[in-house]
Amino acid sequence: MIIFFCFGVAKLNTAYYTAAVDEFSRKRGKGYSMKSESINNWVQEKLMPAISAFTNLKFVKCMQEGVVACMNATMIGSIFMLLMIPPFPATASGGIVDAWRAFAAANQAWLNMGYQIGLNAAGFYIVIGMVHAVCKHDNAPIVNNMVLAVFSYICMQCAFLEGGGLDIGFWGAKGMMAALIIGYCVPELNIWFKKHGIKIRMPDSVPPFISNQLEEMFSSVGTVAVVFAVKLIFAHFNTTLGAFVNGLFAPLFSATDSLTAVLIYCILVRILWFFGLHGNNIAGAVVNVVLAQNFVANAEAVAAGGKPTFIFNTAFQNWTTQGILFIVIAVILVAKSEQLKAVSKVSLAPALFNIGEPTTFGLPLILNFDIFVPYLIVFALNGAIPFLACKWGLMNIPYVDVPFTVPAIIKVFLQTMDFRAILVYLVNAVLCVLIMIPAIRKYDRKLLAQEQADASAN
Amino acid sequence: MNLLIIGLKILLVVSWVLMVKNVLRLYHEDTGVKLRFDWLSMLNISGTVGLTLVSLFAAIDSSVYVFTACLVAITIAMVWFLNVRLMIAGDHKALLGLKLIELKDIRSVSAKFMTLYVETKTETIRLYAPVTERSVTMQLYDASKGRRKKA
Repeated sequence: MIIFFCFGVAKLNTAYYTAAVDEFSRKRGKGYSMKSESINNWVQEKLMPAISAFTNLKFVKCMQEGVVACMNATMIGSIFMLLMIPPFPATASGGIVDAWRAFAAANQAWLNMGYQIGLNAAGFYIVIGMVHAVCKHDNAPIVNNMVLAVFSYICMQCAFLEGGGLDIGFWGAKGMMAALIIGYCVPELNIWFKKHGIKIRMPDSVPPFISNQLEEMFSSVGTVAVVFAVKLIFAHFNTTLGAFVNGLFAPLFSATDSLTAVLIYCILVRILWFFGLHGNNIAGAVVNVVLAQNFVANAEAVAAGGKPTFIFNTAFQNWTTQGILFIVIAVILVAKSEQLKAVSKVSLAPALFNIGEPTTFGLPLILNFDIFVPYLIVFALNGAIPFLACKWGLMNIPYVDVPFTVPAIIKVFLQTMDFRAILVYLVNAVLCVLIMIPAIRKYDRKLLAQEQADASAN
Repeated sequence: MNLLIIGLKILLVVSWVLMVKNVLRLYHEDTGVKLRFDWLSMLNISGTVGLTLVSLFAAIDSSVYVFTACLVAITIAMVWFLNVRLMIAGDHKALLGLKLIELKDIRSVSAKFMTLYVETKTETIRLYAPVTERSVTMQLYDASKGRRKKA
């Protein structure tokens, strides 16, 4: 996977200028079944116009840029994490497994630091990206707004520890939504203050770099005052902005061991991801407690010589995230546009190890209305098919927790210790790929047309 | 083994230095050189940077000699692979991997599968999945057609 990270970004701009473009254009017309894509056509023709107004919102556009801003850091953090947590089950040993574990143990401290700074500070980078996007959109000065937003984020999301230092627990996935709000609202507020004349007029004799800062002083003070007011309001209720926002979603999950709960969980998590939020973490804040209890109960039952009884548990949860690989396979099968081909190259190996970020941000899955409906269906099936297979006794209930980076086809066996699980997985895979193909093909055509338009414009 | 790993780490640094040196050479010999990359290229560079950081900081410990040595060796290969894929252009010259060429010498640009072919007066340069920015490819193409606007 590491090798792939470095080798794998096969990106070719060059085909714009070659016969390959014409070839692709001709091929895309062949075998293009309108019937097979009728659902997507309905989405495109009926649903999209209504939604396009939403996607063109300034906040949405800035949010996309803000999320992309954290990608490089998360990529570096992912490499640290992968080397820190070898993708092998606890029972595996020998050869590279032991060598990798020894390496991770010998370098644990700083590998963890790289992981924390790269992945667990993603919210911080999103603030920076958001502010940049907002300022660019409003043609506003970036530096001052950036300083204000970073100040506000630290103020809102951090707590001082008793022994000194800061608790940055809400800088990562848990703080992403707050990062989006702060990264957008703080510069907007500052710009609003300035527009409404809340600034000091300096004489012409004052150098511009000094007068600019002083002119912004009042608006900055006003913005900081509002931030502190909000902070104090949340503090009054013993919470933070991040915790409050995440908490808004948490009550939606009262996980029970039922197909309905599984489906609601799968769909809601994916809707949150669709809007750029870490669905697993947000939903997991409450759901994970229940799932962990179910998992322990299953383990105890097996240890006592019985059979696991709770299907929806921590191990089963991994099944609900396998759709990324199926989406990547669908992309590989149909992609003709340079963007999708490049994304499939960079996403395949991470997807094999259940890492979805390159696909989520690269395809992208975030705010991509072209593939929204099949995307939800695929992840709903990822929950429904194994759940029903367990319920109907077609495979064992998962009761072994395996690191999430273990390739899915191996993991499903290790979790259930049942070869039938591999068959269920393959059936699920085939169904999901078939569902995704029409949507991906449609999206691919759109991208190809854009690429050709760009090429001809240039 | 200590010395081998230290040597590999030095070689890793040298690999990066060579890459930077190539880019600086283009900077000094041309105008209008911009270090901009598409996000996928940035992702590629970030991955190599991440692996480099891990390799450089990796503890030289007898219990993990082999793993560390392999990791650093792989990283060196990655850096070199990145080095030969880097594509940057200025107003008059372009850095294609390890080669610096004049834009006016380009006769044609074409792509096949994952390879960019740049034909010059003397040779055909092949770049596997170039790490670059879209506008650079456009510059090369325009230069090959003699349509490039002078800066």
